Amino acid sequence: MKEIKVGLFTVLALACLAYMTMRVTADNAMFGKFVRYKTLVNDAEGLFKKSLIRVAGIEAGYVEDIQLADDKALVTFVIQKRLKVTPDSIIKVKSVGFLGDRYIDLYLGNPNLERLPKNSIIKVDEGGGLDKVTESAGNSLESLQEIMEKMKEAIQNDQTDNALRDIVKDMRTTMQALAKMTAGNQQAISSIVKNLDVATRGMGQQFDTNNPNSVLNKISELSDVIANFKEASNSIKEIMAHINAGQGTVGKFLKDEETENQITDTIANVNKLVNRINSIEADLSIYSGYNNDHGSYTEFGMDLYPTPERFYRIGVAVSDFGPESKTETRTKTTVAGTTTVVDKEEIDQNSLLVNAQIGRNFHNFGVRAGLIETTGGAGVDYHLKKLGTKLSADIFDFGNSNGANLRISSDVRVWNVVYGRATLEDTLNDSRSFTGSVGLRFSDEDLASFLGLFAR
Amino acid sequence: MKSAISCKNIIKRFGEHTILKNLSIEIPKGKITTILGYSGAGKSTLMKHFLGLVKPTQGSLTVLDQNVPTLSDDELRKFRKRFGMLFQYAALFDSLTTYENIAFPLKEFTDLNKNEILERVKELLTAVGLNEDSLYKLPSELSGGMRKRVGLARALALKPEILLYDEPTTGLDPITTKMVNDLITTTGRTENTTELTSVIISHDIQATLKISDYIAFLEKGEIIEFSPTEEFKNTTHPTIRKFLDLTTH
Amino acid sequence: MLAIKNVFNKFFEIVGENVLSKLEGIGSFATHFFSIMYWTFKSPYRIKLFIDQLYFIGNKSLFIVALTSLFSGMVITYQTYIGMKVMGAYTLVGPIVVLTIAKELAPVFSAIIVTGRCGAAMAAEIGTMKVTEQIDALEVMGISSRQYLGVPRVWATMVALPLLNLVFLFVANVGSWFVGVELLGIEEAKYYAKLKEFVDFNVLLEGLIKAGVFGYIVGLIGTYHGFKVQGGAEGVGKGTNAAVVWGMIVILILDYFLTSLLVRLLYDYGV
Repeated sequence: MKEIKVGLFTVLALACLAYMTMRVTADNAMFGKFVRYKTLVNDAEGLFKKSLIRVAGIEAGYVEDIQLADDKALVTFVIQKRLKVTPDSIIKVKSVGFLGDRYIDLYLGNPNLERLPKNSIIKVDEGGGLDKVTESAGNSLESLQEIMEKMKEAIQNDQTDNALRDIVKDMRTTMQALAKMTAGNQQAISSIVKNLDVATRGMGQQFDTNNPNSVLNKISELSDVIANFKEASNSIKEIMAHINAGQGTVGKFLKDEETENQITDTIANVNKLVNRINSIEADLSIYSGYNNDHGSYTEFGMDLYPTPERFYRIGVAVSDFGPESKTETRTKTTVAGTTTVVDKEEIDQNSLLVNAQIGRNFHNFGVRAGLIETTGGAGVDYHLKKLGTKLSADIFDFGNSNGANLRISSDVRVWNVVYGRATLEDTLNDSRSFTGSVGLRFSDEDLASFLGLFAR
Repeated sequence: MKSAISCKNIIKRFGEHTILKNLSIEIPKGKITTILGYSGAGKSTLMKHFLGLVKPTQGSLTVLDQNVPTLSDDELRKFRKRFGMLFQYAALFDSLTTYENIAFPLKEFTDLNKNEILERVKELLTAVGLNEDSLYKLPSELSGGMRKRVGLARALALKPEILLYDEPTTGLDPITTKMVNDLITTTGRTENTTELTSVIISHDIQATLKISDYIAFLEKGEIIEFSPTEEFKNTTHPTIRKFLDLTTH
Repeated sequence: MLAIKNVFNKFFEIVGENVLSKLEGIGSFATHFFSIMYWTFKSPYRIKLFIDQLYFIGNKSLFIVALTSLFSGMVITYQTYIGMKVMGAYTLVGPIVVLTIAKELAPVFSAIIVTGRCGAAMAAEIGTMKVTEQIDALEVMGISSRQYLGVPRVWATMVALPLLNLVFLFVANVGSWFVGVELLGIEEAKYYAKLKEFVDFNVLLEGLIKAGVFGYIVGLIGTYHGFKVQGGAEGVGKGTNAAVVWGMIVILILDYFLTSLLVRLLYDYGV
């Protein structure tokens, strides 16, 4: 009975956790597919990791990292993939509230342009912070104050040689003359004014660029058309000449419609493929170490991330220990009439092992399952990014006579791409052993820069 | 006469105090032996040595053919299963019923199922003179005498080879004292097929003279007399004589 | 001259004795800790006792935890609202209250409630068993009293506290929402929107880790003082008192160190 009550209590507590987690993270900008971009700002004050990026006021992404790059701040952030960021997109850093908080507004540019490739730098328009407003307000106030001073002087002091005072005086005389003039001619003046109004309005319309029928637009359109026409006719002239001569691949293609279609299709597919490949991130690692019971162990692995959350792990390992396979051989030799039969039994430990797993990341945890060292298994990883450490636990090789292998390991970053790994094998069995290894791990960026080196 | 417990020149010091000085005794197997003495003479400390709860500073101690001070913690735990002990106030687990108290060692150390355990518990209750009414009562609902009986039943559960009694009749009324004495006698003589050695610590001289086969007198950490009861009654040792005369009328 | 020398001697004697006895205390507590860890991994595993203790510490503390958390959440919200009103930042009340409760109040308050309730009970129960020779009876039967009595209690406290922490957090937030949205009139939509902006899973994780560590310590201290009891009813009273007092002191001191460690591990604010 008590067990049931304790069970209920546990379920209640976990339900509280589940509810609160959902409340706190539901429909957050943190879920979904993302593309990474960067921007350089002069002042990253008020911006933090996980600061939200908004498009049209709605959460569309978040800041991943802020680093110092010379004298500016390099902000790395991710935007939801469904939003098309183009080369003319603009970032604005805006202030909100009195507490100095700032957030990033992203203005998507012309949707007809090509999508900006990932990791590109988006331009920044650093204006409009509350401090900027108050600064310019302060300046304006100062200028206003000056003017007021001058005007005060002008009005008060008769002796001062003051241009303003003169202007005011002149204005007064002019106004008085004008008043006299218009006194008798009010009607005439008003009709003139009315006509003028109509005329200027009409003219205004003609010069309004928003009015598609305005003369201005018509003229600019016309000039555009003329220019294009000129260009086009020149090009056409050239091409026609070539085609007529049957010259060039284009000429050939234009004549052969089928080839042209095929080429278009191919180009489109290649584009798609390249985009897909570009969006996949890869991590490469190679480790080599020694186990106190079984000998040496070398592992080569690659993690592929089609999205930040999903990943595939493939790799091979070469070791002196692993699942066994027995081979029996019988050799018959006849020497001088006597036949000797030798039976040999060889126990081969599979020295080449394959890893192939599919996994998913949740915050700093990763869960995966699949082939671990050529046997079925599952594993869980915990990333302590700040310490450059990863803790893992794998369970596999259930068919082993000693029992399943529960492997617990810890990867620690020693320097740059160099890592150290400590592994405890067969934790649940009596045949526990320890492996110490050293390795290299290259993240996607590292690889990109490497390949860049070679491309040069 | 085979010895259940054999102490040779045991010395026990706690810091500056020497509790046991050069103590030697051979406690015979299958008999009821009482260790008498004034309060503070070292009787309880000696008993703790038998159980391995305390190790002697010097000297040798063999209990049931085991060299007790050299046993490891695990070995000691297994060794203690051959003992049963009745504490002065029974030391029953007060959150458990009579049944659960007596069944405790059976559940811990045997593979008996629920029914077998119940049978054994009823057997033990009968052996100590209790009926099934008290089976599901808590210790707080039992009288002092009944608690002692339940304590004894628990001590007998695993069919021990040595039964230790720590002041079994101290503080009890004469009727209950007689009941306990009878219990010790019958238990010592009929309960087991293997010889049950009973060792009693007491300063109730009347009871001791009635039920013991052998009596030892512990004075200031030394055994000054160890003999069969009849011989002991007629001892000429002045200290013991004084003790006997004080307490017997 | 001799008198002065005597005074100095006496002084050093007292200081020395105190230091030595404190060192002895620390040493025996460490021994208790290692003993508990040792016996945890040795069979028989007392699962039923563990469940019994989990029931006593967890289920039976639910009501008091829920009650205290409801009113704590309500009063913190109220006080925070008064402060935020000055700046017109009403909408920040939600996240401020939730962060305060999740990171500090829930683990610390629940730990203190459990110390008072269960730490005291453990010390009293084990202490009473010690003075009535029930612990001796266990040992004489060949059962380790630390394994039978200590291990289930320590691990049950460690498991129960994070669960109680979650309940505390949830009920306190209900109280906070009630006072904030219903009584003080903060817009519900803004309340939740701001919450999502400032609170993430790491905040909950920090509270849970703290609760787990506190649970282990409370169980350890309660059982330690129980086993240490000597001398009858007075000893039991002293032991119970010591369990509660030391439990609270250690929780509050450990809170600081745990917080600075967890902030470094879980967040990137560079503090």
